[in-house]
Amino acid sequence: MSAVRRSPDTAATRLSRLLALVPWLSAHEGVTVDEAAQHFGVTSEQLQNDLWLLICTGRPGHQHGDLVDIQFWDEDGRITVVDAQTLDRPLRLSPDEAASLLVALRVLAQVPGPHDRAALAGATTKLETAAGEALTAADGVTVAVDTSSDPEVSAAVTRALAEGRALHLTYVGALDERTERDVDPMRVLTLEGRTYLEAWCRRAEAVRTFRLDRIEEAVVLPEPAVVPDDAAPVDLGSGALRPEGAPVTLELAPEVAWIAEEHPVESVTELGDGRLQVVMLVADERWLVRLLLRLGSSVTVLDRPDVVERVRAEARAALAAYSTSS
Amino acid sequence: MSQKDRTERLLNLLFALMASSRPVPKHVLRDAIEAYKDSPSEEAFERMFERDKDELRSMGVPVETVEGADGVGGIEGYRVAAADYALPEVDFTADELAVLGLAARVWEQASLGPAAQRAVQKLEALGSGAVVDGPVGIETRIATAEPSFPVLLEAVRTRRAVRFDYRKPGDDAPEGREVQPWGVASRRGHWYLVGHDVTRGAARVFRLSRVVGTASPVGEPGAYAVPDGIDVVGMIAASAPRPGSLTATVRVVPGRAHGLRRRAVSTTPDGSGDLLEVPYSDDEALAADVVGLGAAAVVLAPESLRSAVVRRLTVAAGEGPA
Repeated sequence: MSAVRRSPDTAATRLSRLLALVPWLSAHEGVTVDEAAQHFGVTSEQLQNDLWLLICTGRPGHQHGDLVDIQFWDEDGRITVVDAQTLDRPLRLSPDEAASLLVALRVLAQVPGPHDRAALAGATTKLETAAGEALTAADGVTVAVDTSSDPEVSAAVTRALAEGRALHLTYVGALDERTERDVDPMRVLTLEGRTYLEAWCRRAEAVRTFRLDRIEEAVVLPEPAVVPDDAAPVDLGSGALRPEGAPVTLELAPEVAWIAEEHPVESVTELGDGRLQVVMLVADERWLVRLLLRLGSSVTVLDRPDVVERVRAEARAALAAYSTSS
Repeated sequence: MSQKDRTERLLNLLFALMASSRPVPKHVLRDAIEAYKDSPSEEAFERMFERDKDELRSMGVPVETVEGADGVGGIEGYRVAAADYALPEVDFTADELAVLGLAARVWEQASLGPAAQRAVQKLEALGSGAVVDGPVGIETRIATAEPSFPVLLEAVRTRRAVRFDYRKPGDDAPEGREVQPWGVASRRGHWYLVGHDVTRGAARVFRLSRVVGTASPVGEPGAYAVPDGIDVVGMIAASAPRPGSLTATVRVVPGRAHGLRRRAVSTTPDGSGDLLEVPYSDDEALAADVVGLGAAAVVLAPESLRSAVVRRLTVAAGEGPA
């Protein structure tokens, strides 16, 4: 597996690679420098440097027979491990390493999706065995994923993805409106503790994410899912769904400062006495109007007089119901 | 000291510790390893050696400290047992390797991302095959933006207290806290620390995003025990507001107020809309939710909630006192 994110090559990351490299090369007799470099996510030059470093080390004394012996200077670029010294086996997992994979596997076990449950259970058991004492680190971290979605919805989404079929959804979005649509499922995404269906929406003719707990009904359609070639999957680079929309500047009183924790904000400026100025990206004004109604006078919109006017109009319309219904 | 020199020094130290079946005293290591021999003073060597030993341990190398390495006692020696060094033999199937690839991507942008990469390298070095990095119709990501995450993870594992400044939203200034960490958990996308608050003498839940700066360890490792049967996620859930014992009657228009409908214990058709019975605990909190729905929801009872809504709407309409 090539490195997804290249971490800076510190002494520790490099040593870790060297300790994995020797047994990996032993298990892959005759592999080339280029192939090994690709596997470890480094350049061929870097890999050769690693090999040079390795063959200069060994047991104290550094006599012949004490040193690591790896040959890699043949014209075909093939690598042969002649003497691995004591490095013939990979180093056991550190607590962090064990925790990283085990916590992730435990999260995957909670998440609906088409992934192989038997393989998940098998990999978890084997990894727990391999981790030994490092296992305790994984027990100190718990990730709870929201599981409030309808089990029938989860099952339909999983089946559609596994069988490559389209879905009919009844969905209530962030704007509190119920919609009906046919979608071509792409992936189940779990981000920030919430689970979404990523799909090509035939109605919007675009990729959309649907919160699983807001799907009221999902029906697997007989027809196959056809995702257009140019449908761009959500960029998971930031580990969260990035809102799109126009920036709006709000001033928050201390009692509603939690808004900056609950909603993605572009920037936060402290104004003193616990007051905050935040810039938020708002995709749909109707959502902002509702938020402002909810928070009342604790929040002030600094740069959108038109939104302020809409909030007033909505409040007047709502008040009318109280004078007639009493 | 260049990265290459340090890598080489660590590797030679590892070889020296593995080469001998008996614990190796520090002075022997100083003579055996070029870079140690060249260090300008005993003090400089000690510092270098301590750092190297910690580095090897953090990578998973089981460096044992043995008292009396000279057979008499008093002198400390060190060793790495070959049996403890090696990753146990496990053989993953192709399907299991695909799942491991999926798991390795979970922390991609988070503090455990590099650790997951190293874990994958080690597992692949067992030789059962390559961890597959292909799409499988599902992706999960865990984000850890909080700078204290690695410190707290380590503290939970080693049972070591931490100190940090904590600031709740709306607080003027942060407050210092000392906590014995029991566990770190994520719920609804937020990270929490659960533990014994030494300052307050009670169990507490802390949200990591409210920690100002970075937590730092205090005292010795192994300083306390985690109580048995702790339900960390349950404790976090219990610290959140509850539905409550009061009941409100709210009329909602068709096809709207879905959030309120989900909270309702009963829904009855009523003329052109639905009547909901909604459990709640605080007039102001529910009033805020109802006002957020505008004309789509009208409170019929109780009167205290109804007047809270009217007061909020009057302010929002720009017609009354703030």
